[in-house]
Amino acid sequence: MDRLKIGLVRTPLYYFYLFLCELGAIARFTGTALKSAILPPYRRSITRRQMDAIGVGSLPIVTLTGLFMGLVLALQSIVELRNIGATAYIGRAIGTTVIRELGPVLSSMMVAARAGSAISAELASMTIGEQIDALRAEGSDPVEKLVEPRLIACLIMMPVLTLICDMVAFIGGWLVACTVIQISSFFYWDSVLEVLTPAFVWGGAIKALAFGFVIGVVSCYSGMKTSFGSSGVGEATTRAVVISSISILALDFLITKIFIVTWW
Amino acid sequence: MKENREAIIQLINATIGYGDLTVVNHVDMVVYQGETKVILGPSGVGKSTILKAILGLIKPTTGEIRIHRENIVPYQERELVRIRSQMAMVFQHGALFDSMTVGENVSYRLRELEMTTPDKIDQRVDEVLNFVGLRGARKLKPAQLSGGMRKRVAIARGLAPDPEVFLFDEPTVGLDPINHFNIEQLMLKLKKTQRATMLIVTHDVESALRLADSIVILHEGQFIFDGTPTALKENQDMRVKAFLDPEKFATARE
Ligand SMILES: Nc1ncnc2c1ncn2[C@@H]1O[C@H](COP(=O)(O)OP(=O)(O)O)[C@@H](O)[C@H]1O
Ligand SMILES: [Mg+2]
Repeated sequence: MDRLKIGLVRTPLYYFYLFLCELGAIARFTGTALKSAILPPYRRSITRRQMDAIGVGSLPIVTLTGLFMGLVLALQSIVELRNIGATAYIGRAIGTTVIRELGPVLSSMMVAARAGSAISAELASMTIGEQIDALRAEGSDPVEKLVEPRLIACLIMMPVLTLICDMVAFIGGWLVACTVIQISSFFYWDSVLEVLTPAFVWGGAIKALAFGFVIGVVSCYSGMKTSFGSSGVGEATTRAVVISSISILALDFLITKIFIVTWW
Repeated sequence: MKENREAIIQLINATIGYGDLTVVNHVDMVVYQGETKVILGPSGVGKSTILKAILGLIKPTTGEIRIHRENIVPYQERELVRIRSQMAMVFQHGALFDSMTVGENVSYRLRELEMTTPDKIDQRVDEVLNFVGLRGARKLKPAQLSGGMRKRVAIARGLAPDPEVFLFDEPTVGLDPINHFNIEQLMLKLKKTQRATMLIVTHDVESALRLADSIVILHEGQFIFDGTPTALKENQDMRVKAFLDPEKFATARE
């Protein structure tokens, strides 16, 4: 293996090799984190604290995101629907877009920016301060102690936050629908509820769950793989947000494709 | 005489590094039961790296590391936890857990390994905080402590489970003279009262001469000296002399 590495130094193949190594490392990390999250013991009190930090902490920003998303989406939909004389369908338009796409994607991007960055900054400063080494020296498993509670908290809170984001977006849409095109409230909510079919709701929930998983794994991995030096924390944080966001978008495409083929 | 004593820590032909970087190259070292051994060397030479390998935090690429005659190199994390439970490591900057109070830091291993009852743990925490002269600090968070206090809490954390082996990473470096003196006294006290086996890493020559039963000097990945403090003062190797007295060496070369 060493000779292979030396032979390839600085060729594109070498970087591809490094990329594969990194992918392998992430996959292994994901495996151990998942195993730890599924198997007991569960760190209930630490997990609860993380749920508070990630969930309650992200609530304001997710609510605001939902509100403006609903407002803008309604305005844009009205312009298009007017052209075809179908403004009555505004509830449907907003309902499907929000529940299937924008709700899960935008709220998880916000959680990645707020909570994911905080997770990776915290773990990165623990890595640099040798606290992770100290944890192992004291006989603990850092994955079990640090990664597992954060991952579980992300998994539980992301669907909840997405749900809240969706609700607020519907309300935003309703405000615009009532004031700009004077549609009746009953008609608006009726058509929103019409698209809340199990297939769509489950689709949104599964997306939220998957994105929460990505945020948890990427942020923890990035924090614990921090290089030493004062710029380490900043780099880890940036990396966590960028990689989470891009992974969320890519995964969104994949999941959407699967759902369209199978269910929607 | 040494041959009769039990070897607690042994490096045998060990090469240790990070990825492509080799830090120490094919080295041998022994720490005997009850002995205080000091690893001397300039910053960045690989002293901390050796301690981390002894704890099994990183793996050597060649050779063996034996703790109580067990080669720990092939061990998985689970077996390493058992090995580590016989040792205490005091990290360079303390490495206290920021999210916990001083008391929680000190009692960490006792609580995790459920070594005894909560009452006894409480009592033990008071005892060791007392030993390091920090009786009142129990409820404080690490962020509220000075550098010297952090190091003393780290020593208390190491002391609490009553381990057989102590690893100290630069225990006195970067401290003011008073804390420097206090921590050195603390280690002398440990040596006398606990009869612990200690491996101390430092670049402070004076401190090493005061504490050590035996000293090794690490230079460019190799041990260039291994012997008693007395033997060290009489050593004629130019590299050793240069490290012990850089000033004189610099003028002699001119
Ligand atoms: N986690 C790490 N990853 C890569 N290189 C490291 C790491 N830790 C230390 N090093 C490098 O290993 C060498 C020895 O470091 P260290 O053991 O900390 O030295 P010392 O403790 O003697 O000051 C240095 O060149 C340092 O840059
Ligand atoms: Mg060091």
